[in-house]
Amino acid sequence: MLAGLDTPSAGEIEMAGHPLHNMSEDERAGVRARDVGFVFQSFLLLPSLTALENVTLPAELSGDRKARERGLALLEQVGLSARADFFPSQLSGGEQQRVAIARAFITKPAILFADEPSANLDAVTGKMIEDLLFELNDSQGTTLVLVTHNSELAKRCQRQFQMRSGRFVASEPAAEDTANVG
Amino acid sequence: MWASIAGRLFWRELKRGELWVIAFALFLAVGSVVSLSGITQSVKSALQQRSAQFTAADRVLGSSQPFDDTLFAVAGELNVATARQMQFDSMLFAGEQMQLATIKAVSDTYPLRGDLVLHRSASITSGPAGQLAPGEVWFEARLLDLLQVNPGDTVELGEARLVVGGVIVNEPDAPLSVFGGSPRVIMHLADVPNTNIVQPGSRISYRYLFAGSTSALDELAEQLQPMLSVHQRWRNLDRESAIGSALERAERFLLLAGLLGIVLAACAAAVAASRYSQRHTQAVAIIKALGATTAKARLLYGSHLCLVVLFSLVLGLLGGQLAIFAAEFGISQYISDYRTEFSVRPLFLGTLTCIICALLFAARPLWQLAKTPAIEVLKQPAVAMKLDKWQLLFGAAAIWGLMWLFSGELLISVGLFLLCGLFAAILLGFAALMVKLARPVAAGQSSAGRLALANLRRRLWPNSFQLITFSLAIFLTLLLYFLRAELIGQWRQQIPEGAPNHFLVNVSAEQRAQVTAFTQKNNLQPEPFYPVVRGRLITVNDETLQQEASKEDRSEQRVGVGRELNLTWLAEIPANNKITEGQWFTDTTAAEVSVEQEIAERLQLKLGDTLNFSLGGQQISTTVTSIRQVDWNSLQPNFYMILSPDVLATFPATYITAFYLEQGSGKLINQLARQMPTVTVISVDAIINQVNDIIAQVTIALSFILVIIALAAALVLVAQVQATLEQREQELAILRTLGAKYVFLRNALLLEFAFLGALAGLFATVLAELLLMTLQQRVFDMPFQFHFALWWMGPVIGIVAVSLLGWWQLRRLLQIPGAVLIRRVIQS
Repeated sequence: MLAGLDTPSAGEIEMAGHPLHNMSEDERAGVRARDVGFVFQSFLLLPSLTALENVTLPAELSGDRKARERGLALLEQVGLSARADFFPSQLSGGEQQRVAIARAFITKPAILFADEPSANLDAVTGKMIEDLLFELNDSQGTTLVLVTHNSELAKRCQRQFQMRSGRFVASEPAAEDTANVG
Repeated sequence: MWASIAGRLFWRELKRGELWVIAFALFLAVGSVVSLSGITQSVKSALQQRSAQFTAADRVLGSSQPFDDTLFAVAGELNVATARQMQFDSMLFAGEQMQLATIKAVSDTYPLRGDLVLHRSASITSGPAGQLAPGEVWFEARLLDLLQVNPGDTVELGEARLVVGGVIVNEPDAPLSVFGGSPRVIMHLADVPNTNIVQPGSRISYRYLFAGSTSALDELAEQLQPMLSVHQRWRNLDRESAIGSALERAERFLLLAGLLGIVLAACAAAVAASRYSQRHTQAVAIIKALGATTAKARLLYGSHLCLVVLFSLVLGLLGGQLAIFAAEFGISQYISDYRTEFSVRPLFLGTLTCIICALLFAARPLWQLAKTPAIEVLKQPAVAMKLDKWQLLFGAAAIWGLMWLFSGELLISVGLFLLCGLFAAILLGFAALMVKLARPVAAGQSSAGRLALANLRRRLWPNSFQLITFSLAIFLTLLLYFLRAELIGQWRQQIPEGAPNHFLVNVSAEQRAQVTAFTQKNNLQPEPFYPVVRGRLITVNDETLQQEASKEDRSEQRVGVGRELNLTWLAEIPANNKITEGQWFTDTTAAEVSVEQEIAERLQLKLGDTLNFSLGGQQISTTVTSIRQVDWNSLQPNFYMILSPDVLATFPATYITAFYLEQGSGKLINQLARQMPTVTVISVDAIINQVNDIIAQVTIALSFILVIIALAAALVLVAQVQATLEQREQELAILRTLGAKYVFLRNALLLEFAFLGALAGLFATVLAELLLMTLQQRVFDMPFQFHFALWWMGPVIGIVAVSLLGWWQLRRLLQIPGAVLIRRVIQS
């Protein structure tokens, strides 16, 4: 709901100045295209596109002519420039998630939503993905919203909200402290 | 930008094999439409060209009035070749001898089609070739004897004196009538004025011969139509062809059978498109989550579909056209100067079929696909296919549209569509019942059998749909296979081995013994002698008949036959004739006549009418006591009027008979011609060869359709099995986790498909037998015959084909190690 994928049955959501609860599916798609990036638990790459094409897809959809160069640069940053022309099925889980991270950053989103980014990976690879995520987050100046069951990972964030059975139960540090979350 | 993504998506998915079922189905639909309509067109055109060779032109305009030069001018402007021909009966004089002959005067360009062969000698088998030139006349061989002249001698025709050039060896448009009539003479049109025969009121038939491309000829016919007077009439070539009707039936059958193949291919495309869109739900959700609007997703997948359609369309058109070229090459082997004409109609039909299929079968699933909400990225993708009511409706509309497109008749398409609907409904009911009934039986089965049945029951609706398509596919294959055999058999029957191919005409009463001796000496089996007396029908119930069909201002008068008829008398009805009204002669003194059905309709004759004939000045009166149906396709002497023996027996008659002679026995014929110069020998080998060629061509076309139907049927099966692939993968993972062994799973799978195949095969057999029975009795006039082979072939084809195809599709799934399968299912 925060990312504008779904609408609330009641209440209001505002993100980056956009009243998401009042917007149509297509208007929300526009907001997602400009301001939001995603990293999913199960990577969700398009199997028919190469690593590079998966990365450049969001930029291409919004008509960015420099998508290819930016895509290559991002693949370089996640250490996969040698695999730019590989298909997802030819990549390991960790590599797929790195492609997904590169994809998430290509539109220079204001907010990046990461849903259990390391849950489908082994511990070592998972750690590497987490490091990469935070690294890029720092260098690109993006707000990172991370959802996880892993309390270690949660601790690396500037603010943490705990949910249990659909309700907020705790928030630390206090809400007023920081403007940026992540 | 989206176009390049669509392009990449298309190319990659094509390479990964995601699209091949849709692409192949569309390719098959387009390719078969193009090739079928093109090939039938070619066969038809080949036949017309053959008939054109028998009429010396592509189109013939007949008239009783002198040539109208403006008509030739129109033809000239359209680049249509023309020739002129006049025909009349006249007396020929040579010294003391005289003879009535049929004179044909032709222009330089005659014949436009076929060959005129003349020999400068008295023999049709040897002598130097001659050329038609003014001042010369060419004779049918027997006329030389009748007039006692030799090539080089002079004869008188009207006021002109002409030199005999030699004999006519081949006259392309000679009448095929086995009765011959007066001896034939060919002369140059330029000599006609010198004869002074053409006088006001003389009975002369003028013919305008035209030849050119079909389009130019059609244009010509259209332009001439308003200019034609009542005296001018197009002579229809098609109807005159002895095998025209058989071919027309074959063509309809081919197109209809082809249509059902196309419907099958379209079903495969529809199933594959549904599966494709289902598999891409998540991809669309991802794209949308990444910021694409519904419109953009629609544009992306719409152009994706367009590329698939374009790809299949281009390949299908190419493949179809190649098949047409191959067929035309084959035909050109049969017909010496076969002219091919490129037609865009098959390509147009193919394109239209492709668009209908794509729009109505595949567009809906893809349209729905683009509507996938972005939130779907977070959900587990559904694996079971949903039944979409609109899709069913669109699919049905498309099938009906295709039927209309191909049958060209609204009523037929509606009828056929309803019939298919009825079949489907019956099958659906049966399928549901069978699966339900199978439960108690399965309780005692092995556990693999139980699992197979459980699988069938769980997917009852998709399975029923599969059952319908499998049944339809097997049904069509069986029907076509058996019908093909029956059609070919029926055609062969028309010209049995050893059917008479040489007719002897103008045999005098005295020559009969000579002919019999000749046939006995050479071990030939002659047909009985039919007596022939030529006579003119003058009055019907004392009403005088109009003798010339074209004479004006007497429209109220009944129109006569316009020529002399060949009358015969027989005590027994000929074997290939059937009485439709009245009774065959019973009384031997009643002066009866039996009339052929078509001429009875034309002259509006009914039982009890009194017909008066004029035979060489004498008049005889007869009563119509029966109407007969005659099989004009059979190469037997056929008669419009058969009189009872008491009427004619006293008239001097000539006789006709026929026998079979192996090809290449020309010497024997020459020998006969020398012995009895006044007897005319007519060979019908050319016609028999033509019929055999057509049978061969149609057989090839039928086999071609059989292959298309089998392919389309297999494609439907593959598409159906693929549609359940994800679901099966998940189930297998669960069963594997629970410890099911490979052999057990394999047996369950094979049993499931074998059961489905057996059921489909059984339905198909019942349907095929019912339809074959109906066709046998209604269309082919054959006695009821049970097709025993059908009853084992149907189920066996069903079991083997369905199991094999199912196994081929799912084999890999079974071979994947359990752990991999489980991981794969969890990950997706």
